[in-house]
Amino acid sequence: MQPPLLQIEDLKTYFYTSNGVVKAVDGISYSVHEGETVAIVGESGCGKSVSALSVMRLVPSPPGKTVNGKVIYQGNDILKASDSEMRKIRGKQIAMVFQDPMTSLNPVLTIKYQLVEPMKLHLNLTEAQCVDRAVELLDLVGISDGRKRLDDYPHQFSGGMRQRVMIAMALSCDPKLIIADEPTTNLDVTIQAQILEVMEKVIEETKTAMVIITHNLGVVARYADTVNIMYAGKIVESGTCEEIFKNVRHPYTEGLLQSVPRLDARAERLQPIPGLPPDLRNLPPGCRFADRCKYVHAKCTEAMPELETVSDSHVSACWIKDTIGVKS
Amino acid sequence: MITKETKNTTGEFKSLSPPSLLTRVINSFIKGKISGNIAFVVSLLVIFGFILVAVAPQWFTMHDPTLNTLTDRHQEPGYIDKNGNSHFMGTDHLGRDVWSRLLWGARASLIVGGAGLLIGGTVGIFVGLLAGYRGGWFDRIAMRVVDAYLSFPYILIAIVWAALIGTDVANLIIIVAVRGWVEFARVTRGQALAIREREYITAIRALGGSDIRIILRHILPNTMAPILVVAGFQLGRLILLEATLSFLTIGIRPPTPAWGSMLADARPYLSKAWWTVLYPGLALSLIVMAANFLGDSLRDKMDPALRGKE
Repeated sequence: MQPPLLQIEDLKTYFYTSNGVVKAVDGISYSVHEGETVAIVGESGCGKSVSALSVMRLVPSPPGKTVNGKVIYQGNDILKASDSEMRKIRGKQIAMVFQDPMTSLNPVLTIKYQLVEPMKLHLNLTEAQCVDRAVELLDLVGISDGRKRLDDYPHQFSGGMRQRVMIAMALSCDPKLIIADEPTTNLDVTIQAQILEVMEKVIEETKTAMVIITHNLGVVARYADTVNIMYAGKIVESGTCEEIFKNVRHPYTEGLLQSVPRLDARAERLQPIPGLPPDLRNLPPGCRFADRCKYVHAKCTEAMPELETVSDSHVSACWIKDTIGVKS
Repeated sequence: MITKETKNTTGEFKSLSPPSLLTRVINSFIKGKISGNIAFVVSLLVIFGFILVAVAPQWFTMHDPTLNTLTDRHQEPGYIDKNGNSHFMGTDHLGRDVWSRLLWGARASLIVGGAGLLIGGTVGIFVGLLAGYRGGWFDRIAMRVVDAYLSFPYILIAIVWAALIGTDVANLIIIVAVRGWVEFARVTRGQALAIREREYITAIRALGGSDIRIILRHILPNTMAPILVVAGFQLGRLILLEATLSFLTIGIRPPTPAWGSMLADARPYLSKAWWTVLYPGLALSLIVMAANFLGDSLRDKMDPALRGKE
C-alpha cells in the first residue's frame, strides 16, 4: 500500500483561556489515502472542527495552539511549514468546505470574484480562462446557468446554492484533499441529500480524497470508507465503515447508533445517551466516557483505555471492547 | 431696480436646492421629523453646490475677491459701485466684494477640509484595519493614541504646530488630516475586529489568501458603510477646524479669502456692518449642517437596525 496522502499523528490542540486550558483535541491520529473518504463523527464540542482547522493551521491563535503532533502531507510535516508554504498548500492542495453556507461567502463580493480568487492565487490562468473554469465548476456542482449567475451576489443565492458555490470554490484548484466541516448541517433535508450527491459525484470524478466531519451517521454510512468516532478530544473508535456499523466495539458508538431513528426496525423509543460530555478543561483520569457509559466498572474511572486492535481494520479504546456490541 | 437685482441673484442661488424640497425640509424640521431621503438629497445637493462653487467661483461672480476699493468700504448689500457693478452682499472693511470673497472662500474650505478628509481618512482606515485585524501591540498603541487625541483639545496642538511649520495650504491640510484620521481609525478598527471573526474570512484563508489580500479585498469593502457615515460627519468637523484656524489667523493667509478669516476681519465691525459677518457665518453653518445631515442620513440608510424607522 502506498503511503497515505495525509497522516495525522498524536495531534493536540489546546485553547489557553483565562478559565484554564481547554483540551479540544487531545492526541488524535488518523490517515487519509488518496481518493479515500474519511468521516470524523462525534457530538458538538468534541473537537471535530478544531482537528480539521488544526490540519489547515487555521485555529485562531491566541488562544488556540497546536502543542503536539505531526500533520504529514505527502511526506512533509505541514505544522512546520512556513506561512508562505502553508498558503500554497491551502486551497491548492487541501481545500475546505465550511459548515454554514450563509456566512461563508463574503456578502459584498460577487460570486465570480470569489470563485476566481483561489484560481488567481494558485493557477497561472488568464482572467478569461478563470471565468470559463468558474462556469465549468458551477456546472459540475449543479448550477447550470453559471455564466448568468456569475455577477450575482451571495444574497441572491439560496443556502443550497451557496453551499454548491463553496464546493466549487474548494474544487477550483484541483486539491488532492477536501476537508468538509459539517457541509450539510445548516441545510434542510432535501438540500442535504442534493449537496451530498454533488459532493459524491465530484470527488468521484476528480479522484479527490475527502475528510468529512459530521454528526450525521446516515451521511457516514453512505459515503465514508473509514470512520473515526471522536469523543471529548480523542478518537475512541476507528475502522472501516462496514466494521463500525456491523461490529460496534465502543459503548459511545453504540449509543450514537441507538439514538438514530431507523426505518427498517420496529418503531421503538430512541435511546439517547444520558448526561453531558466532560468539561474539556478538567478531564477525568479514566475513560472520558465513563460517566455516561452503561457498562462502566471500576477500571474505567481509574485508567484511560488506549486504542487497541479489534481486527485488521478496526481499533477501539475501551476496556471491555471484546464483550460489548456483540448483540447487533 | 436694486430689489429686483437682489431677487434675481438670490433666486439663482436657491435653485441649487429646489424650493419645494426646501419647504418640506423646513416643515419636517419644525415638526421634529426629518425624512431620511429628503435630508440625504438636500444635503448632497448643498455639498455638490459648494463643490461647484469651489471649482469655478468665477462662474458666479465677476468681482475680484482681493480687489481693495477703499472708497467703497462697508457698503450695504445691494450697493452698486461707480462702474455699475452690483455688490449684492455689500463690501467689507477694505471695500472688497463679500459675495465673491464668499465664493472664493469656499475653495479654501473645501480644499483644506476635503484633502484633509481624504488623507486623514486613508491613514485612519489603514491604521484601523491593521489594528483591528492584527491586534497585539500595534492595536494597543494605536488605540491609546486615539484615546489621547480624543481627550485633548486638538486646537492647542494645531496652534503650536501652525506656529512651528507655518500655514501654507499644504501644511494646513496636514494639520487638518492629523486631526481627521482619529475617528476613522476607531470605527474601522471596530469593524475589522468584528469582520475578521466571520466565517468567510476563515474561508478565504483556507483557500490560501494572504493577510494583505484579506484586509484589502475582504475586510475593507465590508467596512465601507460605517466609514462613509464617519466621512460625512468628519467633513463638517474638518471644515470647521479649518475655519477656526483661519479665524485665529493661523489658517489660510490673507489676502486669499477664507470664511474663518472673513469672520475674524469683520468681527470689530459687527455693530456697523452686520453683512460682513452674517454671510460667511451662514455659509459655514450651511455646509457643516449639510455634512452632518449627510452623515446622519447615511447612517439611517446603512444601519439595518434603524432602517424603516422614523
